[in-house]
Amino acid sequence: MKIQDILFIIILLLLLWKRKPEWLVGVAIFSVIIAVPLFAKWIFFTAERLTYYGFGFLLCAVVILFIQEARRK
Amino acid sequence: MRIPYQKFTNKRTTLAEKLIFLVLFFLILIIFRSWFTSGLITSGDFLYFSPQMMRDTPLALYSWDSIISIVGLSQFIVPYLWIYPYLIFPQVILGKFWGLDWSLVERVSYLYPYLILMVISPLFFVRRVLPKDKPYDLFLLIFSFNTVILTWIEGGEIFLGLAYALMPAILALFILLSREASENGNKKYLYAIITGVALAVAIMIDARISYVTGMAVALYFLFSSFLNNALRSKIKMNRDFFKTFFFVGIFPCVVAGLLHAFWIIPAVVYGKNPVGLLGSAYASAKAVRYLSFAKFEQTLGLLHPNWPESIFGKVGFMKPEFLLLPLIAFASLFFIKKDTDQRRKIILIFAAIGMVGIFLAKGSNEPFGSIYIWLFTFFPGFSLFRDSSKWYPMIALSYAVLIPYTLFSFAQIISKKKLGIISKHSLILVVSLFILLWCFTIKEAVMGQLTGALEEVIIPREYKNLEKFLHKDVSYSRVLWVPTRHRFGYYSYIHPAISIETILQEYDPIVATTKLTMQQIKLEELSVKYVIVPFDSQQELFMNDRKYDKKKYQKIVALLQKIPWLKQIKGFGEIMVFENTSYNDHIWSSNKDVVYTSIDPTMYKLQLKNATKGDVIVLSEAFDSHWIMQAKHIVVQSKPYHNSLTSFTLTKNSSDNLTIFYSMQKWLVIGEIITVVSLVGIAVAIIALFLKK
Repeated sequence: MKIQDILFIIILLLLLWKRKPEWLVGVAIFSVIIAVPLFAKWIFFTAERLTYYGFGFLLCAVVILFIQEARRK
Repeated sequence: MRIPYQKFTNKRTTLAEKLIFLVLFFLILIIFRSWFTSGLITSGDFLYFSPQMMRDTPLALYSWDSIISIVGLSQFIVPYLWIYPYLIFPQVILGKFWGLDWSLVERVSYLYPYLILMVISPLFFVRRVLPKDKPYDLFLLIFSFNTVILTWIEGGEIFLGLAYALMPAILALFILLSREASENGNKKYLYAIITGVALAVAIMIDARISYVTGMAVALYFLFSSFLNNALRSKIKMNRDFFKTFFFVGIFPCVVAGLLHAFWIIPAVVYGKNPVGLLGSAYASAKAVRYLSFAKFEQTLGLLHPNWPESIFGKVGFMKPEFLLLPLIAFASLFFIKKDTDQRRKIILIFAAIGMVGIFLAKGSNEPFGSIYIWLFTFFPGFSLFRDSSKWYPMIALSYAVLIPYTLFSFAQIISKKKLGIISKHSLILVVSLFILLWCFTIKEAVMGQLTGALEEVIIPREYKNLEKFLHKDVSYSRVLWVPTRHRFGYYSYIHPAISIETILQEYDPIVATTKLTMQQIKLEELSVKYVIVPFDSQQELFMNDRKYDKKKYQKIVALLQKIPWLKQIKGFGEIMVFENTSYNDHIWSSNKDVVYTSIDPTMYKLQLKNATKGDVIVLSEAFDSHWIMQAKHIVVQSKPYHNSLTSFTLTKNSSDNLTIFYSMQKWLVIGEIITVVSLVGIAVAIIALFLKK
């Protein structure tokens, strides 16, 4: 496991603890935005990793939104 | 009762919508311009059929195919017959009976229906499923003009394109059906039948994309049930639940199943996995790993890995501009909090469907690629997807719903700010900017640079001459193509085509040709009279690192010219034709003269003088235990001949006429009867339900 993976897990756990899906979506979008210039510069490894993290944040956001929606009266 | 739909010219037509349709119109004209001329379109799996081939095409379906080998010499073809009605009927009706040329047949039967469906189907979905207060017509642009569908069309995957184009309509029909299912009245029967017929049509066109569509439908209802609190409050197994499950889950599938009985029944009776029959190149995890070309960032960006050249195996680097698409799509999740229940649920459901598609379309690539291998191995139906890019449509469907929502929500926010003219025309500005971005992502298409099935081709005269030559030879013999049949290469029931790749199981054509020098007896037994090296006019057969290599062609010709039992026949330009000096007939015996009549590809009548017990009769077809020889008092089961062909050893002396037949054909006939009766029944039911309304 690389250091960026550990960082991702820490941020993810913090955001899950907060249970604010908008923050998760925001961080996901931020990850992908940073990946754009990295792909343009052919720095593929980090860029790919950022897309994985972005997807991970998004997945958690969608799951939380689903649960919140299902519980909504 | 008329199924209602919203007309194009309703109150919702705005300047933005007009712009979208104008852009669509120009994109169709630019990208598909060659389809509006009279030239021939053929590429990849979108084949060409000459006037003679169309005249030779029978209307009937057969359970055994030896005319053009898929794997090996010949095979039980039923598991792949789902497409045959759509493949054969245009050839027979338009080509054979009406005498139309293939360039017109293909336009009327496949190309123009695709152009119509790619507009009508998404429009139907937008008008009937999506909320009515926002113009969602950008859905058409995103769904019908992305790199995935354009790569498929360019590569000649027209049938894939047709099934893809049907996807929104089928999803819409299922959703509409679910709304009617718990109501009283006959509407639900009509919707269920129509949905089943639409599903049957989609399966007939392409079974894999139909499976993806079915998966999207299933996920839609699964997520929808969860959001409607159904799972949490424990699904009430009441009458309404069973009614909905029956009408949405069972009824359309039964209708589709009955309409496809003609191949389902014999396939089930045969009892073997149809994908497994194709061999390890189709059915192994190794094949999945090899064909997982799309990387995660490409699926996330809705970028097909072979865009824009559509050359198999040539994968481009990630284009960073495509990452703007998931940013815009998933930004929709910011805007749903204050929106209505209906819109929130739709956005969440399609976001989830998109995420499933993003994960699956990358196949066995990271992250967690082993999950896809597990699914391929164990999940029912996943064995159809050695090529994981077939999951891209779920991403396209998702982004086509999410992106317009984000754009219009953003435009609404801008319109409330005091920015003068920008606020006043925020929607048209946002839509225009997005259209510019979209056109940039498909710039190769916008500039008319796509090739393949999007440009015309000309048939070299040599192939027309070759066809005349082969057609004049009325005695049965096979034609061995080295390395494989050219798309303009003639074939028929009298002269089936086989390729050296499949016969010798060797995919390097030079190595295969070298092996051929020792295979005279094999070619004799396979009834091969002609060995042909094609003129590679389309530069798709003699390849080296994805580039045409003429030296390969020259080497193969030189090797064949050295074979003493092959006599070259000149007169076909760069097509090299060799005649095998010694070959057997379709049905032969080593010690008896066999006179036979071919009734159809699954039945032959033989006259064998003084047939004695122990005589071996060989049918030059791949061995299959369902071939039977029968006479008045004899029934002989087939046995392998030299581990490859079908043979029969007479069990007693006989002077009767013998019949060789393929026993699975009767199951195809039974299936056809069920299909025809179902078709008539469905037509009557639809008319009756309409009249009753």
